[in-house]
Amino acid sequence: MKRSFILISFIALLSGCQLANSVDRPPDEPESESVVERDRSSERVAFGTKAATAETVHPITWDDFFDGDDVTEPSERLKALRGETVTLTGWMGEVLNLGQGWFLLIPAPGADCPFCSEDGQFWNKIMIVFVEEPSALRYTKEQVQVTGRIDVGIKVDESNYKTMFRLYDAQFDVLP
Amino acid sequence: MSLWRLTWKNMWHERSLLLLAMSTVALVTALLVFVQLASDEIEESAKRGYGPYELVIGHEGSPLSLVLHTFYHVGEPLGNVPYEVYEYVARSPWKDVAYPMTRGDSYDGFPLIGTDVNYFKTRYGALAIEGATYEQTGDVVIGSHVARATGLTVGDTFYASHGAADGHAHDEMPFTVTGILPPFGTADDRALWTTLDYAWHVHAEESDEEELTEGPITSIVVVPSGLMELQQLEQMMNERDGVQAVYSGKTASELLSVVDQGRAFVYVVTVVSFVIAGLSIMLALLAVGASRAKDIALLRLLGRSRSFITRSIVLEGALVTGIGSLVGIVGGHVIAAFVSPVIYDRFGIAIDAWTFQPMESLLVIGSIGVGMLVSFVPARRAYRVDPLTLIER
Repeated sequence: MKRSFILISFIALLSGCQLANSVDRPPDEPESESVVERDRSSERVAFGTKAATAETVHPITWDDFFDGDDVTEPSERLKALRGETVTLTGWMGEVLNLGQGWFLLIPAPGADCPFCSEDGQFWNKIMIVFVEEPSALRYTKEQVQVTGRIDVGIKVDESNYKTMFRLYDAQFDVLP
Repeated sequence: MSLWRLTWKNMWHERSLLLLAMSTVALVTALLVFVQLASDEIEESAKRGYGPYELVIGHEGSPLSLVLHTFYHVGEPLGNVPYEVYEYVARSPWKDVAYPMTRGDSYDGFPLIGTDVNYFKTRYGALAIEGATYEQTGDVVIGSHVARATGLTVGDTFYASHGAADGHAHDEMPFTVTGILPPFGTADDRALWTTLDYAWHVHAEESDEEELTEGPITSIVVVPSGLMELQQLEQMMNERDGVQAVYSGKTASELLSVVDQGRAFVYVVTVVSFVIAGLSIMLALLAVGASRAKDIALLRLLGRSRSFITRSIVLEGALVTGIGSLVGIVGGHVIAAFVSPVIYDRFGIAIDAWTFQPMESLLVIGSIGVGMLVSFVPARRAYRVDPLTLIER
């Protein structure tokens, strides 16, 4: 009698939890798999908590985007990382598309675009991030960490806009 | 008598009480299903609600209000911007295409919007229109939902009324329906469309026949030529007095965040309601159990084991909640089907009543689990019934 009671409570509890999880909720707390070691002094490769799949996650910073003052093309380092999984922290720009599931990642928070100028095309430190789960995408003012597959080079991408830095299948975590 | 037969007979015997208990489960389930359907649709329509127009420019004020009345045709615009603002945008290198829109009048509660006819091509591609698009002032094409709701067809004439639904009608200027748009699945189905200058003519002081080529603009929707250019234009426009430029996507996201909070609240309420429903099942089974003590004693004397009795009660609990939740799921979709035309008319949200979600099967399983859980108390009572009490009486 007691055994079946325990068994059935367990089943009911499980269904309840499954139900709660299947309900869509925007990620407003950091997910548990956000820990990645970052070492700025060297290019040592770090492992994310997806260690089960032995995937290497390369941490990058905004300084890695260009070589020196030349902003006409991406840096050699990022070009070499094409197709690899990288992680980066930044802030959401105010341009995002929920339907297509992308947003712009910028180095500093704030509504102003500090790098915009009137002289023609000026590529600056902006990365378009295509998220893995568009339904969970919401604008946030908090700092975010993104992890995904990087692509660099000027081209018209899936958003129909010309971009230089892109991140695909990205997960984003809001940092506290 | 088998387990199933006994259980079924018992349930049938107390059907009124158990039906009441079942209906509490059905109601809660229906509520949950309905809320899920509605919020899914709100999310979808917010996402596809503005097409490629990443930027919208209008009179300064609330960004949400500008996005809502421009793209979702909900609410009234509070002001206009001078025509010169549109000219600036049209001349700028930052736009790919930009369309000015005027708005002020309505017909039968549906807004009458003046804009460049290419707005539709940019947003929806080639148009399969019934009839012809508008060409001169006074010509109107109507959205598919407007055609259904008002009964207007190609060739009909009507007068618009100022502002929202019941303003005074403008007798001076009749409008003629030249075409009916195909259904887009967006809020544009709920509007009437005409030339940009209609509002200027309608509100002109003398009934002069001169062509009005300039006038105040309510909104400007922009497809930018690039992401940098988009931000450039937004900055430039916001620096002007009396003008605001708003990112459509960000505003839609903010709208959805509000909807998320509402949805979370409703889920909490639903969980509490589930607990109450579960308790009512327990109550019903306990009430039923008290009157069955003699039957149980008799069965025990006839050789049925204790576990047989308890299994029967647990099965009863499972059946009550299982059937209740199934009825609730169907009921939730039926309610959605009835209510969705009303909601669409008022808010422009078209709930697809008959999409079944994976969550729903979990709901049934969870309900059955809860039903079995709450039947343990009455089952334990039945377990303890001593067949000898029958003899003692």
